[in-house]
Amino acid sequence: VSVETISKGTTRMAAPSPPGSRPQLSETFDPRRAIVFFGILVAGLLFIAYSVYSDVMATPTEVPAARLPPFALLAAALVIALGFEFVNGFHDTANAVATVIYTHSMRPSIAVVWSGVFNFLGVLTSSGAVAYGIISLLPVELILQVGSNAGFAMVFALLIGAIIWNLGTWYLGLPASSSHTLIGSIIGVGVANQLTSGGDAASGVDWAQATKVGYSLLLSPLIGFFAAALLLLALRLVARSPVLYREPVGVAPPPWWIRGILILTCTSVSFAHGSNDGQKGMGLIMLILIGVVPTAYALNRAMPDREIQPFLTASTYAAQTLDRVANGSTAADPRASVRSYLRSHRLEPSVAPALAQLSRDIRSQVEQHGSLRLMPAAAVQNVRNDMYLASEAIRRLLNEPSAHLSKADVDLLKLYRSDLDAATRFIPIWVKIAVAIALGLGTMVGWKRIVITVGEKIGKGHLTYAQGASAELVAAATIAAADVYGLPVSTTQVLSSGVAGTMAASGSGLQATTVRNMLLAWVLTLPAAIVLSGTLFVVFSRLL
Amino acid sequence: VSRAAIRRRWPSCSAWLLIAGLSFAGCNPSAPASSDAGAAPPRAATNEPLSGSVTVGGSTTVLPLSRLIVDRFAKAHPGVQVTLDSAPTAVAFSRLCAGQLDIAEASRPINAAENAACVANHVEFIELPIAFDTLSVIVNPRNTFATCLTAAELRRMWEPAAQGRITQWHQIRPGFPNLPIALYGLGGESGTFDYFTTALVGTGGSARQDYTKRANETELTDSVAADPNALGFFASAYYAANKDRLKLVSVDGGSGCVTPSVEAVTAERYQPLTRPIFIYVNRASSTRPAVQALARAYVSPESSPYALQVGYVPLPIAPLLYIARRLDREQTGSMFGNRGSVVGITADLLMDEEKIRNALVR
Repeated sequence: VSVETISKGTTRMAAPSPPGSRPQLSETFDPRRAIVFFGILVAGLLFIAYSVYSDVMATPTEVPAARLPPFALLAAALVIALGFEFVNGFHDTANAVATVIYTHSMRPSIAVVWSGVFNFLGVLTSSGAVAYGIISLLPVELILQVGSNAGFAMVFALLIGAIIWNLGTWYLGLPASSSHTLIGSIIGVGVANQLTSGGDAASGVDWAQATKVGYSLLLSPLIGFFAAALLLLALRLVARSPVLYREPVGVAPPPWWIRGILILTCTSVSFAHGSNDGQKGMGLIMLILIGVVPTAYALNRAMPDREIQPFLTASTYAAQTLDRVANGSTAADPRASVRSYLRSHRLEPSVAPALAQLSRDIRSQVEQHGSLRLMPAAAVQNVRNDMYLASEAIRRLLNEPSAHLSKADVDLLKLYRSDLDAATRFIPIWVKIAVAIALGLGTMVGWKRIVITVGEKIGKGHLTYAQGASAELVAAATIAAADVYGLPVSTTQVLSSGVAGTMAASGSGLQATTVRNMLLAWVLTLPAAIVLSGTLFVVFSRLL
Repeated sequence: VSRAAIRRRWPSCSAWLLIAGLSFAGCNPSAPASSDAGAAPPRAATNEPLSGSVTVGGSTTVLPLSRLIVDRFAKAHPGVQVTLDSAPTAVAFSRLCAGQLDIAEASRPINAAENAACVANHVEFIELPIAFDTLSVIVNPRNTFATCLTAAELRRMWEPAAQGRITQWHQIRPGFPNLPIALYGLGGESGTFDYFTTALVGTGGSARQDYTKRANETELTDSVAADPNALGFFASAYYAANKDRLKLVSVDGGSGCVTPSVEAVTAERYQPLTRPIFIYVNRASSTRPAVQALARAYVSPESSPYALQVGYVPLPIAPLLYIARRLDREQTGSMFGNRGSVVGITADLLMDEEKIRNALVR
């Protein structure tokens, strides 16, 4: 087994394969495969162009020429956003396929296509419900003017920052968490914005996210290491066949049930990855679309007209409820009050009356046009911003004990908020498809580097059938548990630690250099992404 | 419309076409349940006075509330002719499904047989819960011992096995006097009777048959008020209207004695006898502005005081707004899976049809 350090990633690729049961990772170039790959890529790009074009052409406008958005800017932004998903795809493929490949449950080329397809399906079947969650973490003033230069500086900085860190760790073959990278990028933009905009100390950074990453750094390695180790030991008691605990002979697949577990967990990890990471990409793409072509994407133009009357009714009662909460206090500048609430999280007496006023303003705008699809270009962006402010502020308000909301108030405001979100937080189907293609294709290329690390460089022995199954099972179970209980854990970290745990449990030992580098990368991911995207934000703000 | 219902519709439609050779309109099985996005202009509130007629009929449980809502509606829209008459819930459903009512009042959800009649006649309906009834168990005011009864005791009194055997109060609880029990109730077509038996015996309509049947709540009130050994039950509006002649019994559904009240409903404590009451709007009629406006009045927060006034518990505002959207979306079919009486429906559940479906599967 090779003992070279991970940092020599480039030379490692050229090193001769270890003898014995190492899977055949490099296959000869197959032109047919390349044709299919690029065929899908080109078809995807054409599909996106066509979708944007027809969406834009469907908007009402007085001047037809005014329809034309800055296409170069839009194209660049979309390519970068989809590029982010693409890189995310191959950066995270190893989570799903490394154990399958090293236990010979599937041939590498089949495994990555399989994983890509399930990533694709995961994105397509995701509800899009959490796509906008990532956006609420960004500085509110930049979200409100996402079409401005500062808005673009934000989007480009966080995407490119995340891409750079993901690419860098991938190049070194280090399995770092791409979620932590994205959160770091978001915080970086927030911090940089706060520093450049002059001082408002609490402005625009959701430090709770950083705390979650901190917890994940503590939790994930522990869960992965010990759960996988215990699972392996438990397996030994149940399944005594020695084949399971020895290095695979040649490329012989494991017994059918171990193989089944591995393929099943590989499938579910791929699917969950598509669903989770795909939605983040969708949210970011929507942000770009809203910034560049607000008339087409700022409001959900597909919202049926029959939903308008109920929305107006809900607005009326929501405003009444907020008036009651306001209890006589007033707000001089409603938008400023709400913005400042979202930045500072301090519930001033002016917030409730400001929200009531905002709800009434939104109501009268929507009532005046009778439909979202008939809203003129000049009004769209303002109505969207008001809706966004109201929704975010209500979300916060609902968790304020000092607001003294009754259950009826809470239910009503929740209903109103879901109406606001139905108008503003929508994902056109083509955005889903575009992200699904980017993530699916990304999964199928460039996966080798991190797969080799996970499969060969963590432990000193070759991954056995039982080790592979234990680690992957723990990773899949953690994803499910994180979904149900909202645990802040990283799949990447759980799987890598899981492999380490099984290696330790079976006494084959760990490669200290890899483990050290990996841990270093995990700890560095958040600060590095913060610094990267923060710096980029400052640079872009000056350039744009 | 359930899958079974769709299967039923095909042959009847094609047969109708073959025999009559008439227009296919009105029995198009592939018609979408809701109109397409953006196809219709927004339903703007017009200032034109409403006209035409609306036929409302059904449950005596809903009737007291309907009277107030219809009165106010008639004053606001003098051009509309509203007929309001009363019948047991089962009769109301059969009239709705025969196309004879624009709005049916019901004290329980529609059941499978009734829904099948609607499907057969191509009548679609929009189901709207409008308030909660705290179904009231009542005794004669001279009865001093029956202040609180458990669900199990009520069951022992009313279940089919009690017929001819449970005849004395002391058989219900050892401390009760050795006096005969005189049970009074509404007939089997009553939604109240169906709900009560579902909630306490377990099967809708399954009860002893040797109780004294009364045709309506007024007769029931008179009988219980006159008989010191009496026990009966009906919708809380009728207790509220006859408080001085009757005595209300608290019910212990498993967590202590609870007297029906707004607070008890909000806290979901008056169980199993808190139930939603409904109107069912004929979907074809609902396109008529007058029908639409009256149906809306039933689910408007402005009508909530009426529910309180007659002795019901209004739905909280969010569930009410949520339910009103069934009209906007022309959402047809029963959210209770054509099960008839369903026990344990709370205001929160009415905002989450998926939860209701999951609860029904169990």
